Amino acid sequence: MATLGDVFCLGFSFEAISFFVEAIFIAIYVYGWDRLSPRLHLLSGVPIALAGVSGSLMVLSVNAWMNNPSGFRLEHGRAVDVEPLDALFGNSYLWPELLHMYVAAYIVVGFLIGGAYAWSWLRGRRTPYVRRALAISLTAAALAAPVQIVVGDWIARQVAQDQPTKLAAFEGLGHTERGAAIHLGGWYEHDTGEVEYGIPIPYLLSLLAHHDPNAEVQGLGEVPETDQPPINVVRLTFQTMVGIGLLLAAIGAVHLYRLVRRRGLPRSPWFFRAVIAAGPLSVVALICGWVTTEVGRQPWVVYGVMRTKDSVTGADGIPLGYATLVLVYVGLIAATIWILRRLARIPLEEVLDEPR
Amino acid sequence: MSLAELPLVLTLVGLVAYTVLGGADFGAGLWFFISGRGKGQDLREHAFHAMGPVWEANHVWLIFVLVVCWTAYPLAFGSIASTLAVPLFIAAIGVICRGTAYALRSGNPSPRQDSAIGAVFSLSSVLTPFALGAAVGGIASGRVPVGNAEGHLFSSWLNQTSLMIGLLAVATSAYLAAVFLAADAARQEDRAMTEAFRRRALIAGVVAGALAAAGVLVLAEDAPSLFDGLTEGGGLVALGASLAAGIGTLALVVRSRFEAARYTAGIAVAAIVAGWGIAQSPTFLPGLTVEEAATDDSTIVVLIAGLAVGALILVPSLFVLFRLVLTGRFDMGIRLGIPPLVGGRPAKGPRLLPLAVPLALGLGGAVILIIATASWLQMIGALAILFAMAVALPALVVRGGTAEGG
Repeated sequence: MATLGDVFCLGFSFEAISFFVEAIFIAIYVYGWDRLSPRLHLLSGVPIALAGVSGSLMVLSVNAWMNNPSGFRLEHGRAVDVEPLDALFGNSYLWPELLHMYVAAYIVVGFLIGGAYAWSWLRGRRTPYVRRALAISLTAAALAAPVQIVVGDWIARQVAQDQPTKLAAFEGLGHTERGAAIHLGGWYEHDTGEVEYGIPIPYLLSLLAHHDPNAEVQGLGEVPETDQPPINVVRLTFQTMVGIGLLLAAIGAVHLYRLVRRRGLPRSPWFFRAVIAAGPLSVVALICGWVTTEVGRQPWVVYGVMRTKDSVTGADGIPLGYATLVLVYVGLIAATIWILRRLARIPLEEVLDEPR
Repeated sequence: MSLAELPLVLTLVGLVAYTVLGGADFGAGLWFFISGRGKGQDLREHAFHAMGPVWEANHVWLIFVLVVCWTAYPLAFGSIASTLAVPLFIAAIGVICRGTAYALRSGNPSPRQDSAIGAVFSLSSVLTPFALGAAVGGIASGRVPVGNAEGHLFSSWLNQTSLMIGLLAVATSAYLAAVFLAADAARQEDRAMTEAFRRRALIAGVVAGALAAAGVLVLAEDAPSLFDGLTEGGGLVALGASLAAGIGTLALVVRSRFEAARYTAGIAVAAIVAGWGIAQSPTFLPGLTVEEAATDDSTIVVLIAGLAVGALILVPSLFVLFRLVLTGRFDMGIRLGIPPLVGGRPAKGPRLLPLAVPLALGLGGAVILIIATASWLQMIGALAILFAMAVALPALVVRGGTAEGG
């Protein structure tokens, strides 16, 4: 906090403003329901969306800077020649990361909401209201999921360029190689620097990282073992994320095909069962993605500049603090489920169920 | 004032806003707690609903204080956050619990669930201002040395000054809340409610005043340098202004002039915070002046410029929110009564681009993104994909949402 706060914390200051705007207009939107004119009420929702985008841009600019730090020099443990705007927004890593996260957010929201309505649909509540809810949420997710493949490819190339050790950890590539393969599953052995029991797909890593099947990919061995992340954690979460992502893209493709060719929702109950599963799966993929990038950056908190162990607070009682936070989160999850179920029981205004 | 001090002034302004607005919010929780059931139920509902539209925005002031301090004075902020980790953690949990309680009450809970939610709401409303006040006490009494968790984990915020300021924070919150709630009740022409909170405001005002007086004595004993700063020059002026505004507020409350009392109560709090800043200046933490704690000028310039631009959006937004609240537009029972959406003319469907347009755009963007190596070209590809998604979504939804197949 003390050493580098002046370089990146500006992002948090600007985020505070976004946060402010969001809090103000959420209040106006919620309390203005039926109390403001419909036009004004709708307009009061616009700043919420804008502030949401600008706020997340600020947070991600800080995270992107942690991955690809620039805009300062270190001198005697203090940052000097700080160019905060350049550090936060002049970062080639920010835009792929921002887009990757945004597309992921649409996938998660779309499939979570779609999953809830798919449940209603399967239980026979095929009202126009449910149909529209399904059409909106699923279509958003179905458009975003295939796009994520292209965006994921973009960010992977950026990682290969700026954080080669992280990329090597995605695969468990022990030694620098030309025409490097990707192994599905399996286990990285530290002693040999090889993946054991994985299914190899030749040339795929070189192809993905540099769009050239014979490109050279830097291995983990280029840096000392103390500078390597926990490889198997990163491998597992990366492969889980990509696997789920491809599955979600397939579900999305089915939905899009039906929409375009048959102008309607798929008939098979298996499609809706898949959508119900896709909701929680998309959350798993999202979390796996964050674990991949954050654990993959270890042992650095700011890549190549500051080690995580040097940035930890000296205060005691961290385990107790974490335990408390876990309890708070469990409580929040339980409370969220409880209130969503309560709110779902409030009957909808009849007008929504009238056929058009 | 130098450039290095400007962010500190902004931090203190944020702290004043948080103490007044956030404080009133916490105080409402305290009255919620004390009012109890039965006859007190109306008071509880009033305390809860009056703060509904503004509580979230009020708490952003705390975030503002923290991030501005962190950006401009990273060394001091790191020292404060690590030494005072415990009270700041308690405060953070308290804010989360309060927000959750607000959300959960909208779920129409059963009486038993409601009382559990109420307990969380009240407890966090008392604990949070106390913890934050105790943290301020630790800084003010010089118990936060420079460095990573150099101060004592407990005695830095469990000492005479901290306990004093913590209690004062709770009492001030209760006082501010009672004044604000009386004003809200008066606006809604609820006589009994107005009278109830008028009485509470007077009691809480006297208690807060007594605590403040006792606090000065504690400071003389426990934090002599701060005491000296507060009893001479600018510090003394600020203390006097706070006293005058506090007495003025009591007089206004006695005469039931609550709207004016809102502002004088705010001035009383602002003067105390300003007095603290003046009394402690130029020292930030022991052995660290504000000048030394400040970061590079370049960061401060960008920070100030950014906040100035932000203020252009923020100030009018806050004005709109508080105007809507203070003129009673968001009061319970006020509804526009919009006619239901039946029997009207059917809406004309939106004109939509054929699907080939977003398809071509999206595929083109994807190809550019895949083969381009220049980052500006990649950005164009990414934007094309985003635009294609935005165009395709409504066109596709209309197909799926209205078709009767499936």
